[in-house]
Amino acid sequence: MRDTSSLRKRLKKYKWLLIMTFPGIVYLFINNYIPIYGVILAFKNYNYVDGIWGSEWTGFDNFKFLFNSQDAYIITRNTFLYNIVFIVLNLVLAVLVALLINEIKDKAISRFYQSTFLLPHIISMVVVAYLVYSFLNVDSGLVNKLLIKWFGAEAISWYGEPKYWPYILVIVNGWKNVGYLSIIYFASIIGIDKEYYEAAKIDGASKWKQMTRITIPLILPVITTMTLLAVSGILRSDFGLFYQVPMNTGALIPTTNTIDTFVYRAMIQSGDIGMSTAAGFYQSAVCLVLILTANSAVRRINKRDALF
Amino acid sequence: MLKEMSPKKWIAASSIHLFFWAFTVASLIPFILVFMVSISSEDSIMQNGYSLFPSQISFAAYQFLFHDFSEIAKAYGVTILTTVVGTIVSLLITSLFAYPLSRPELPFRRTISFYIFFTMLFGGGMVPWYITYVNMFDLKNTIFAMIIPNLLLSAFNVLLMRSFFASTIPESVIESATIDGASELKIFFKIVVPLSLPIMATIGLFNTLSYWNDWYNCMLFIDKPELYNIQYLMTKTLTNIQYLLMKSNSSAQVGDLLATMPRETVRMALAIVGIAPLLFAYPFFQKYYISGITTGAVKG
Amino acid sequence: MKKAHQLVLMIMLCGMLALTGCGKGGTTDNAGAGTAKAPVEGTGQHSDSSLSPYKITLVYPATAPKDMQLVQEEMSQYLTEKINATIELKPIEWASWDDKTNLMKISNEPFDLMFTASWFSYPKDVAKGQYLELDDLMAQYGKEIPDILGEEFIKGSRIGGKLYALPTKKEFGQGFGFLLDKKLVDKYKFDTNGVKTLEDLEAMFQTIKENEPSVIPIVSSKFTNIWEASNYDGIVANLAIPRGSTELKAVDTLEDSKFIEFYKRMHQWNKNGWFDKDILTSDADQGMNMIKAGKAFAVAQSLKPGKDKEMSLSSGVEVIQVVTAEPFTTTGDAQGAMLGISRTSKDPARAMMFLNLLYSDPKLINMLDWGIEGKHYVKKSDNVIDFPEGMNADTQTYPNPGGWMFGNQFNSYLWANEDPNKWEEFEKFNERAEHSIALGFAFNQEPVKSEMASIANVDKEFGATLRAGAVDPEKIIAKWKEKRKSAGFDKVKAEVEKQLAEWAETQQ
Repeated sequence: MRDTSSLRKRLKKYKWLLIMTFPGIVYLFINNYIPIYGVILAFKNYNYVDGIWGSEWTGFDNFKFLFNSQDAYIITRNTFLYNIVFIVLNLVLAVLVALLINEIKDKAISRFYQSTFLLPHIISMVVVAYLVYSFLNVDSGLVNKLLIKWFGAEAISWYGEPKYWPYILVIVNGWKNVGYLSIIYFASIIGIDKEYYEAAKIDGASKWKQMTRITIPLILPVITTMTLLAVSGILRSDFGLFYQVPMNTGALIPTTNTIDTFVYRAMIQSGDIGMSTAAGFYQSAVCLVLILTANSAVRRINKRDALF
Repeated sequence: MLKEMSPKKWIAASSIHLFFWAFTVASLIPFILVFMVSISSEDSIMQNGYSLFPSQISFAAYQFLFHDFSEIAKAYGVTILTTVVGTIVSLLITSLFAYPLSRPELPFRRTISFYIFFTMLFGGGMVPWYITYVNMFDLKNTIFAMIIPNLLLSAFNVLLMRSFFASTIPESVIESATIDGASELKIFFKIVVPLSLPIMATIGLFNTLSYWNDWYNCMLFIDKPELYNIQYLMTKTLTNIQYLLMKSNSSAQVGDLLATMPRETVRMALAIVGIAPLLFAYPFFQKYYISGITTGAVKG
Repeated sequence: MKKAHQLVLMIMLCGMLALTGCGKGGTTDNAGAGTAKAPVEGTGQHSDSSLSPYKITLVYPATAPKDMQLVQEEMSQYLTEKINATIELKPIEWASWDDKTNLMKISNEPFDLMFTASWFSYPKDVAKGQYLELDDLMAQYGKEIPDILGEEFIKGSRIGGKLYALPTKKEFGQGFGFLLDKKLVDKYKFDTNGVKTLEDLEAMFQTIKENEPSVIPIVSSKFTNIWEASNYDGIVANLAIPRGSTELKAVDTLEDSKFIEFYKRMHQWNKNGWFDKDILTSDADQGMNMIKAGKAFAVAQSLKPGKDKEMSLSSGVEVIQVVTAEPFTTTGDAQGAMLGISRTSKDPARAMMFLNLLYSDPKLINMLDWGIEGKHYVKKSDNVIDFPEGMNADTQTYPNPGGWMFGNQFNSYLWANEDPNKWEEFEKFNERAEHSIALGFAFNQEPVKSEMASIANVDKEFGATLRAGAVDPEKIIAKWKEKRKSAGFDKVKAEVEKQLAEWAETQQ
């Protein structure tokens, strides 16, 4: 703890920097902090007549539906494991793509690659779901046609076999996001001061050495931030990916049900706003604990790379 | 070029290209498929499913969507306006917010960072958020409703940009500028921004994508059809088709319409109409992906 | 550092307190606006000077048509004569209906009438207090409604013995059967008259399978839904009252031998290759497409008079319907389309007068349904209309918002391409329909909503697979029952039995 006079001095010195943050702080206050009172709905039995403030308190009743059945374990496990695989795989592939694009000397080709890799990201999940269906359906799906024609294998009922879906979802997720994420890493790679490479060349460092000794260490802060941000959403899932892409098929539930799809299915009938708020609160609370742990671990290694 | 390379390098270079070609095909083919389906005839889809080479070409889906052209033109107008204004303002606020946080000596740095990060975890839900904007700021049925709520600043982008700044702007540059007596604002606009063009372009691109693709704000805040943006117009067209089919009780009147209405193909045409203009936006941002700026130049 | 965190917290708290004020302010004003308006003797009569002018707001799902303003003015003019009221039509897009109406309800927005239905959150909204009780209002201002609707219709709309919304007078119940490709029916001279048993159907499918290798006998697992709906009055989570039962006792269909036999048969059908290969994902809409493409023979369909004509028209392929079960009326059917009066209505009495007119006044309902005569339609005969010259379904400026949503559909004009006896057929259909013994019983999920939420996922996991006949029913039913039990099924069952017993008391 510093004493107040030095704090005052620092405030004065960095006055302008603080002023620069003002618009952002005010915006978040309005957009996120004022409405935050809505979380109390997680602990209330909401009805229209009494409104948000007047409805009766129900303690933790709204949370019960999440933990009623054996599904509680399955959905938490699914959400968690999928996210871990996504985080690791997307990171490795996106950084790899970024590094390789950086090696392409021809500007036009490099730009062509960058633009095409972004295409999957701008196709909406609903459309992706239909594309996947056109590949996997039993009757006229491309994959089955190839399986039969080239391998003489039997047609597979993809939407009836939960065991394939972890792979399918990882592929779809990677296909959709790697290109997009690689742009982030590519932008940070080209932001690196060229002087570092010039020095390395003089020392006769190979390309491989330049990558591992200069590029990766220098983009490590960005990698760390991206990973921490991803960890902070580890109990959330892309609804489109887990609900629409498997076409909401019951048989696939064992491997495609995540917390978000579970809550959505549970709410179709009752539509209870208290229960859905409770589910969101549970996800946030668990994520908070995880991210506090992860962040303090990063802080121990390098203070500047931590999120806060 | 190739001749100058050693065999080892040549193999490395061609395996890179091979990898990229595979990735390119995987990215491009589905996109082309979407387009081809959108110009297939409904019958050929029913017979053969989706195909890259439709047996019968038909623009019925586009005719169906564009039968009221002024509606679509207006919706594009709204989307372009909100995207351009939103992206610029958002980029400004985001970078102004992120840069100070990248400076380790900033007072309250950790607190402010946590203040930002916390919004990624907890939220009050849609209802109080909506009430805030409608009751306190009266945004309903205004163009601002498609610019301000949720889209103007993303905590993710701020934190990402912060770490970009922290890793690419050398402290020595800022120190020397401070010693020269430059104000913080001047340092930001004259030194930091020019050094960070790739980052700015990246975040600008993300903003553009999220503004362009947004239909949720439009759905919630806008009742007037003349203020609909393109994505909402597309979404609502699709839902209406589905409900027309589901509840076709009054089909005596719309029966003929339903019988000739493209269904499978219209979904893909909607996607194309929604995203095609975006393809022209990307090269604009790529212009700023210039490497080779050295800090030496700025120092001097 | 600590201090800084406190500062953030303080700011947050201040903001929240400021909002507490706002939030409370918003909710107080709706209590006073009750039924304090001057009572009127009998409605539907000519202009009554004792009524002050009032604007009625009608909220329903539809896309705003181009000429809505014109129709609204015309209706207002007419309503001013009748009940000194004007009307604001407020269509909300299907795409945004859930979110937008939810916000309207939560933010206490004033409006008078809203479309609702059992499949469209009616029970939930009633549980949460959105709609006013209508019995007294109807007795005073809607005197003509009970006669027009009939007792059973009104009984079916009640929740917990109370009436919160009034149903559209339309088909009352669902018939069940198939739509068949007419080409193939003619080719093999299938007899489609009378009610067909499963065995009759099997004979047809067998013929198709043997003689038409490229045609799938039946598409989509919708058939099994239809079969269930025609044999059981489903209450919730596989608890149902079998059709024809004379006691108010819910059975668990997963333990019902008829149910299990049926699914063994479906498993056999699947093994016979009578279903489409994509049965796990295909839906009825795809079924029609496949019939159109000549790839399929039958798709199951809930039926009402003239359904085959409607479907032939809207899909562009000729189909005929074959009935497998006579119509059956359950609470869900009775609540298929209704209008409720909002708790935020400033003048519920006037809203009821308007409802009364929707049931009794053909002129009003036809204005709402079809627009202005001469401009949006022309009369061909007394109750038959068509497009004015030069206009078609594509260029019309007041497309029908959905006549099934409002009042008395039997007063609605028919189109030239429709069966001129449509409404008579509907009357006959309604008379023929068998009523479930539990008609009028609506289960209140509130006490077991947590268990219901968990069971919804379990049912989704096993239901579709069973319905597709893809696996041995006994095995899957055993797994289903086990998982359902752990999700709290016994509690739900006890609650259903309790509510049924309570309801039975009120029916004595």
